[in-house]
Amino acid sequence: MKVIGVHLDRCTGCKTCELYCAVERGSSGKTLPKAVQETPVPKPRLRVERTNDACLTIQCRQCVEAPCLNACPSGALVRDPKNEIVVVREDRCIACWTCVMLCPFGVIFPWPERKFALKCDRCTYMEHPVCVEVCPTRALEVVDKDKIEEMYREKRRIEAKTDAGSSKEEGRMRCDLGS
Amino acid sequence: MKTVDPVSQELLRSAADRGLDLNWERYQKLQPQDGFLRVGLSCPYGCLQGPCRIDPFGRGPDHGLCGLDRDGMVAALLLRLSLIGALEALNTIPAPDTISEVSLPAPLDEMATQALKNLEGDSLSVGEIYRTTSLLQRPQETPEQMVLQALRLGIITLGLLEQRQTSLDAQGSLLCKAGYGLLAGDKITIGICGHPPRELIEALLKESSRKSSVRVQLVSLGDWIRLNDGFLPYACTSGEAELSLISGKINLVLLGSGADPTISDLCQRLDVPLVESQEVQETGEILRLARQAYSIPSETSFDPDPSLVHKARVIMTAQDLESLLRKEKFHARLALLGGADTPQHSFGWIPVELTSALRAEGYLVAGWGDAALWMIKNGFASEGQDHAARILDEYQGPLLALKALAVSGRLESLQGICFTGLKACRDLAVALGLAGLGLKVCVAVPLPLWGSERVRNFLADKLAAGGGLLTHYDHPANAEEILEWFLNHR
Repeated sequence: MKVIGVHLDRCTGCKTCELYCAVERGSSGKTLPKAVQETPVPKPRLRVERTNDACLTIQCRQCVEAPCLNACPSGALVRDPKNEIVVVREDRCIACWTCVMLCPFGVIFPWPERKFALKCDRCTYMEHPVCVEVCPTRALEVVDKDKIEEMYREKRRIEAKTDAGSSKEEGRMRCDLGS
Repeated sequence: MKTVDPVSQELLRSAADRGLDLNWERYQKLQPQDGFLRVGLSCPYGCLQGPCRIDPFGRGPDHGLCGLDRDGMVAALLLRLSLIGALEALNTIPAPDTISEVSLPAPLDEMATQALKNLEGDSLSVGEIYRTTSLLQRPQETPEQMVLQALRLGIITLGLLEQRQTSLDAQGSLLCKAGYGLLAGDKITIGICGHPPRELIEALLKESSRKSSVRVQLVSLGDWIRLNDGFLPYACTSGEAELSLISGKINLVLLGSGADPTISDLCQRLDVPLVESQEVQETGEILRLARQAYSIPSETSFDPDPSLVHKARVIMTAQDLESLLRKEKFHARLALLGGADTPQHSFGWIPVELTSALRAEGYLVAGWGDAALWMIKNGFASEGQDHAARILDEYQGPLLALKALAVSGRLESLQGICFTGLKACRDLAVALGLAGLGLKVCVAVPLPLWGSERVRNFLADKLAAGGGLLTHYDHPANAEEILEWFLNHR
């Protein structure tokens, strides 16, 4: 299964993914200036969160054992057999928000004005996810879920090699200008 | 389509074959450009607590750190852009410190007086430009006050452009040639980018006119470069400067102030010698470098048809335009089209389509800037044509037509002014100024005003109160939409 992966070291928290997700997937105008005038206000299917040290995009992990899927009382949440992505059938959603409460990652969002739940479906009916397309630093990438662990291992190996002999404190840097 | 010029398309294919990225590819790679700024919701104040941004969809923060709301942010950005435009115009005046009051020439001064009543405040002065900078240090005025100030700066910009004109020698009209045909045949071609000192270009022209085995010519790569008896010929519009470089026909580039950084990068990649005008010691050295580059066989086989050159006269004074209109017994409707190439549209699409369509509707069309170069390149402005498009001096642009029409009491024949693309903030300030004077103005590219309905409504109401209109779109407008705009404002 392919999911959207986030390179934490590349995310600058610019929220371009959030803006254009709302424009492309939540608006009828499909351009930003049109979308900002729409009512109800378009909503994105992902969020950019920030801590003191880093920021990252969070969106649906497409869990293998998805609690939302099992809990949905109306059958609005289904797994697409072609790509195993969990999608919301908006016509079936009864806006009970059970999925919102049960999602362990907090990545299903209620949209009361439109009366359905919003979640990332990896833009499954489009060629590429819009967030991946618009990310200016290429922090978002479509990756094979099975290969994620392999990628992490490689990353840890490179980091260990880089950090060996370096006294740099956890990615923080000081720059002295002048003498 | 990236451009409507078939020769440019040929050059684009050649660039793609050689793996050269040009401005269109950079534009594509930059998409989407900053969404917050595009709708005016990125704080423009000179403050180091930010940069603060407001979520246009209302989910995130609705105020900046200092408490500035979205209306304040959008209004401040408009004011900042207008201020930069006014400063750009101020910098074109030889001795700006000597000017205190800014005014428009009669009879436009009456329009300005009326407009100022609507826009509140006293007469216009250069000091007002400097005072505006203090408004952009910390939020202290209402969004409405900021919008009013942006409009006042627009009118000041018009006054400054007029001031610049009076400081120059008045000349009736000057000859101008444009088209890829200039690059045809065997000759040494020096491309001029930006604005090198006029004396340097004159000296180069003098030096290059001496007899030699191969002819030397100087061409502009899109910037309007005025000489004593005409304009330097244009190989291309400003948007297509990079294309003309990859043609292999430019043997040396002379870079003046205001040239885009990409030109030097591209010259390096293509091994085209580049000389920066402030480093020039001897003009003979420039010619020697150009001859040396010419002796190296070009990688490309580009050789355009020599007939692809059109001539037109550029009207430099209102008197000249006025007498032309009188001679032609002009009773038609006048449409003004001008502005820079923008990658938001196919280059040349709006000026070419619109000029043809408006002429077919019986309009007389006058243009300035890149739009005017497209008119010349397509032969719309060639002498001897029926209802030839008129080319206006780039700096004065619509102001020149306005003065001519006002003097002859035919302002009502002006049907509208369309900015086909905006590059410099000066163009935006001029558009605001013209709308502030009570004219109908249309901008074919989106303005960063979509983040605040209050600002848009106030601007529209204020302009309407003075009889003006500023139409802008939430998308790059197409030629049909702008044609409809002209037809609906008869």
